[in-house]
Amino acid sequence: MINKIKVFFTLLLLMVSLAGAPLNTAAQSNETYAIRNARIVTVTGAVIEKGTVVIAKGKIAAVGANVSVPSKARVIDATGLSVYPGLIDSGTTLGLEEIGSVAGGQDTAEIGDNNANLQVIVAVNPSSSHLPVARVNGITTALTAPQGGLIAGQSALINLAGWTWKEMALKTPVAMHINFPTGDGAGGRGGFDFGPIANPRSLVEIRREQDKQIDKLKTILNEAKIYGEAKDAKAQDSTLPKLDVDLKKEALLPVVRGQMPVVIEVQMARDIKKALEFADEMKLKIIISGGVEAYKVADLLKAKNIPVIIGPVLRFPANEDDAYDAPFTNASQLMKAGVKIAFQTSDSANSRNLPYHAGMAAAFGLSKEDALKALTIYPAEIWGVADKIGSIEVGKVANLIITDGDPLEIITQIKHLFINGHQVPLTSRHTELYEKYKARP
Amino acid sequence: MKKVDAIISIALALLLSFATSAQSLPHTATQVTPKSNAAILKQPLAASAAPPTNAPAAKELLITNATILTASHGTIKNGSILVRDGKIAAVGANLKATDANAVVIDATGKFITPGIIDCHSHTAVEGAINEGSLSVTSMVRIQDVLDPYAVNVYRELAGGLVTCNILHGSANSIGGQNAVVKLKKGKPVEEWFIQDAMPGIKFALGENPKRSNNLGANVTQRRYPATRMGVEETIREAFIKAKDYMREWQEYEAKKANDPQAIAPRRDLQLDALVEILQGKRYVHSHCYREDEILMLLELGDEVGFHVQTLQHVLEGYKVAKEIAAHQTGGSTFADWWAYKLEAYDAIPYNAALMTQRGVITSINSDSDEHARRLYLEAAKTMKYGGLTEEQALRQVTLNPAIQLGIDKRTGSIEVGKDADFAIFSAHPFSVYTMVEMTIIEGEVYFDRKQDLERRVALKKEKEELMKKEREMRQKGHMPTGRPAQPQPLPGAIDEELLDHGHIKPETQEVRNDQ
Amino acid sequence: MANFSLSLVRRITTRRPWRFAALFLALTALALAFLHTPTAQLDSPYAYAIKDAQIIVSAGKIIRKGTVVIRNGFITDVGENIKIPADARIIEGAGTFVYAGFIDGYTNLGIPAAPPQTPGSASGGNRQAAIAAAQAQPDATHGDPSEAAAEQIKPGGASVEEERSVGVTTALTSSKQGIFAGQSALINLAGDEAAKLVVRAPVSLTVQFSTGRFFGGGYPGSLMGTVAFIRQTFYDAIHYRDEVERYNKTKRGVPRPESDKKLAALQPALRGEMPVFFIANSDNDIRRALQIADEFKLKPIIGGALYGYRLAATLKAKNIPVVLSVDFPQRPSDWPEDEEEPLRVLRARAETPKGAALLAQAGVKFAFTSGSLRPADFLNNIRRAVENGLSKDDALKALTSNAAELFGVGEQLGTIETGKIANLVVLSDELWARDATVKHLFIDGNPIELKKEPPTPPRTGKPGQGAQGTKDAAAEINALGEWELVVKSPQGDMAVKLLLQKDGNNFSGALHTPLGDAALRDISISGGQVRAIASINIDGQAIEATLSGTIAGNSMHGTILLPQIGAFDFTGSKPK
Repeated sequence: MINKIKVFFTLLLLMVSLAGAPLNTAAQSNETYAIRNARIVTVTGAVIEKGTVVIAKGKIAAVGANVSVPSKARVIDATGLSVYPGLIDSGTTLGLEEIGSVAGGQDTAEIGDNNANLQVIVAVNPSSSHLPVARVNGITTALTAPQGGLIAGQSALINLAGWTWKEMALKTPVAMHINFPTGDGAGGRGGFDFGPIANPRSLVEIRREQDKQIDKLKTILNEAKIYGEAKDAKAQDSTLPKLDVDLKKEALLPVVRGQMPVVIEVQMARDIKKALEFADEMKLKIIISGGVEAYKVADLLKAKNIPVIIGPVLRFPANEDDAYDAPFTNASQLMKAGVKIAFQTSDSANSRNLPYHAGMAAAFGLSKEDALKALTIYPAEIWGVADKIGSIEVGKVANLIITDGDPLEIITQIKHLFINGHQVPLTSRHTELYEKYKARP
Repeated sequence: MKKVDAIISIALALLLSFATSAQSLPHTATQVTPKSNAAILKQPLAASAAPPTNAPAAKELLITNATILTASHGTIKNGSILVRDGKIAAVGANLKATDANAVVIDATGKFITPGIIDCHSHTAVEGAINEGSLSVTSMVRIQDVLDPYAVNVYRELAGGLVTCNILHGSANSIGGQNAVVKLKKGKPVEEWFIQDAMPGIKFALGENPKRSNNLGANVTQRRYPATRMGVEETIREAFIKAKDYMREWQEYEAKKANDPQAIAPRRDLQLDALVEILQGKRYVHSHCYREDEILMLLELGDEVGFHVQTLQHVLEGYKVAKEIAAHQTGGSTFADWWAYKLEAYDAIPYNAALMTQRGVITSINSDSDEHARRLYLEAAKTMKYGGLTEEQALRQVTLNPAIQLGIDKRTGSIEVGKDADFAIFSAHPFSVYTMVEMTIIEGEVYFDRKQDLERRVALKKEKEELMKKEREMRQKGHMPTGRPAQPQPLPGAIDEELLDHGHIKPETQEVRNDQ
Repeated sequence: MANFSLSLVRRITTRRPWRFAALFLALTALALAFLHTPTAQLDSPYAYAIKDAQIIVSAGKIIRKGTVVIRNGFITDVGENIKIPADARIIEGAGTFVYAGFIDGYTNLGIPAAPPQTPGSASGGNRQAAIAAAQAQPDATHGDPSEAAAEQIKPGGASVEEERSVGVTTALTSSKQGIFAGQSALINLAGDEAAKLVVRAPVSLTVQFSTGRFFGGGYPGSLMGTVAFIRQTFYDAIHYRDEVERYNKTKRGVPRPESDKKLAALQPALRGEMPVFFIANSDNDIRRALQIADEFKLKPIIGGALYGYRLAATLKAKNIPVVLSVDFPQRPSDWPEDEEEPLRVLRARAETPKGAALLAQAGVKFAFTSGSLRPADFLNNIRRAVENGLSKDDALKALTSNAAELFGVGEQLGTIETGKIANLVVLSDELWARDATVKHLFIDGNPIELKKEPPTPPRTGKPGQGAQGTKDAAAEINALGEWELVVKSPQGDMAVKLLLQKDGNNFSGALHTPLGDAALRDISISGGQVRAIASINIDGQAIEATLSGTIAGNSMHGTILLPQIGAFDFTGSKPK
């Protein structure tokens, strides 16, 4: 049995290594590039119909219609092509899983209710075949987040290329992730038609359990607060008794002090309201994730200035009687109410389809501009990295895609891709298998 | 003999359902309910999200001024389609209706495609999609368990979906009999079946049939087979039995005229279906992933004497596309889904294109009620990955699945004489910004976005009124409340657990039924 | 090895489901012949005369003030000015209403429950055991068409008493185990000897679209499998018939058919002599039943038919009778007041009470069944059907004469006419009045002593939403103490003691069951509603049972909910 497992792992490793073809990427490239004659969609500024982007030392060095090309620059003639900032998937498990049904490669969910001290970045596998698959479709950056327990742990914002996870990390930790307990009996699932009463427990039980779990969350956070106060007191007065280090409480200190945002995974309107009350009471800085019914509480979210990471958009409505397009119109309704949004796939293998989630929202009322922004500058702002990524501006990290059209359109092809100023080859496990079997006689 | 019976019973059912259809039809804005009934039942009985008006088919329907993607002979700009009695009567420029009462849809600026066809669906099935007890369940039939009230049907119509190949699940080497239907929501279910579609059956290879009922290491009760070798043997053995059975019947037919003692052999529903396969009267649609098992089934078919009509999923089809094409077998695959299990690890989005380019008739399917409502976008991916032409891509969800299901004579493209099945889009169907505005089946409108938007208010009001009425009745004590919410086994929940859907995160993730 | 066991399973499950050595064929026939001649009417030595009552002879035929005379179990005279025999005991009937005894068209009364199947836990040893059990005992899923209810009946019991207490004198009863649940019997609800209860048997063959519980737990395990199983079984019966006929005709040189009591028991149904009672509530199930009936030329009765009104025209056109359930869908009792439900569910609740009227309007002939309703709600829901458009005459027919005719006893039951069996209900008011109570009840001419307690009022209200303040306090005091409950489980009735106490501001309590004791937690008592949770250990698994009860005076009724297993009704009272 053990032998079998060994063999299996060896095989798995082989497969993974095949996929993660070596990339010539360091944290930051020393190569200089000039992308010329391109239509430049800067996102934050006006579109430059024909211009040049210069990349140097991993950063955007110059942007404009009349920018001189440095002599040592490698020139990419982008006539007829467009340059966009790399797309950001604001909720994934990229790097944490390989094959859905194979437990050995699953590092998404830890055991236990309180995993506050977990750092997702240390489990990101730079050789995962999912990374090239996502990036060749224009995804250059992703929030990768843990999933297990009430408090799942701390997420990281990663660039989808790098020799090590350290090189990939754009920002870590980003946020504490909480799976908010649900009080929902029937809806909220999507996918199957469960009939009138889906949940085997009665609604009263579910609601009671929800309150219990919320109380548990509060207790955990309050204890962290008390721990923090004791720590402060000890710092002031060294005669106080020694305080044992508690890693979980330690990890929660920035959360209870309002320094680290909390991403609350919650879908249904009633639960969102409860989450907002919870956040108010605990004085947390929160971001809603999922939020399939967020549109029902859009005004409340606006009033409290809470951003929503929408997604997946391509899913069923939460309730049988909801409009068929409810998940599609969610984004535009939130936007109209003034809520800041970003999109996520909540996926790993299928993160490459991120643009089509935004596209569907745009088909159903969101402006194309906002759809693009919700994949670029809005998430950069929400995750506190607007100084680094999310638009084509001088000084930002050179995460860029060069396309033959609107990157939200399916038939658009990515022609060139830059991460940290490196030109990343547009190959993946999929392109390699394609080339191999295309050549079969 | 049997067939005649079936036809008679279907015809009878149709006749009878006519009588009832007025009652089971959803309420319509225009339809006047007969007074006598109205007193008792103001709202005729619709399923949940009541479908829109399916007004009785006017004799003629004229759609004008659209961009028509025919799927068979290119794109017609500023074209019109004339529909008569549910069939396409003419396609071209400047058509005129002969009927003064013809319904006219001005489709200026719109795009029309054939009604979308999904070659792998489990929609609208009542109860489990797997009869998971045995390895060979050719006696069970999806047609017996269609639920015309299923909530997702309307959502699928809202994605331009018209025709579905509703399949048994993949737990068994030989599964149950499929049903090819059009989503005629609001009509009695008998009217959903495409009568001249070739009957079919589901086979399954690989991880699912070999793992089903493999209940874990410490359990001794395991169901044969547990390997891909065993799957092959299971199928072969079943056909050998079927051949014996077929011979038994042939002998009986030969001697019954002169032998007074002859009695008909025991009719065996399990073997009947297999005999039909051997006789070319039933299509095999086989779930498969890896190239080895694909080749195995094709070879086994050659040996035993059956044709594989379609390979379903067939994610490694691109590796053996040549062999598949040589067998004149179709491939029905996902656009880009992969890595959810080991045998899906070599899946590539170029699969459909590679198979197509090697001469395999290929389609893109959903295996998911949710994906089924945006198959047009899934089809677009075959242009992106592997470079199919626009028409080739469109055929992945229209003409090609029609060919695979043997219904291309009546649907799958916009051609004179075919059924008037259309999806009308606000923009090019392959643009991510497009939206289905209307879905038409045999000339009748089953989804109309404009009406949908208007109806939302009315449905909300109806709900509020019903809730209010109930509250009042409860206060009067005339409406007893029942038990606490009852535990209801989730349909198919156990199947999925066994089939190792470790990748499913119900709250957020897409759910595929069967893979 | 695996192959061998597979083919074994296949043989047992798909080929010839019931090919056992059969010694029973002749015996069964003999027994049935006996049961055809009921002899239950001669017990009462007295004659009775119900005097000056309003007599509802049959639907639409009323004697405003008249007398019914019964003797030796029969109605011997009925009319306005008839002579009361000198020896008759006179029952003063002024102000009362006499009806023919009500007939409940489908029940499981008196049928002992089948041995329990292990509940459907999805993992571990339990599951393994369950699968083994299911495979060893295919009857649990398949049923047995040769099982005759008439031979299984155990007279008496609380359920029968409760059913009688609202005026039901006669019921069709059937086993409910398996797809082919056996042959039903029409019984009178009084008497000590099973054989004497039977009015007619067998009446019909019960078939239901039930499935095995387990994935891998034996065929069929899905609805489509069940349909295929039913069809295959009838095809097997056809082949069996052919084999037997050939053997009877030729004898020499032809194989002797293996005797099979199950397939033999299907022959009357195949010949169209015995109706097949399909339990089918949804229109989908009804369509399935009708298709099977067409395929095998069966004579179907649709039982349940809650949504049968959707197919009223079809049922009429095919002239198919219905035994209509009035067990209308209800809002779950613990659903919060303003919690939304799908429109589909709300519509179904609004529409199903109109179903009877629609069937009547279409001309479909139907009787009523109580389904899983408590008897008091049975009549109340028939009243709801009347409030929703069903004519009183049609309702009364369904409750009496239609049922009698449908079950082949129109000559003996269903109206108040001379010569018919003296099953009579004397009500304090018209049947249609919600507060009508049963004053007297006669079954087979015997006066039946009624349970002292009046039927419990209809279930109303929601837990935690009841009266406030003092009313609550009173209800609370009333709820505290010891209760004796009878839980209706598949294993039969189970006696359970419930203890509720209050210590300071907190409730505490315990449940004493034959399976063991459990402390209660999360107890809430308000507005005559009790709710509590108990962790019960079943087969080594802790299961959270939710008890919810409604208190009316000294009695309580409600439900115990076991997740994944089911909901079990209970009734009970406080001793003393």
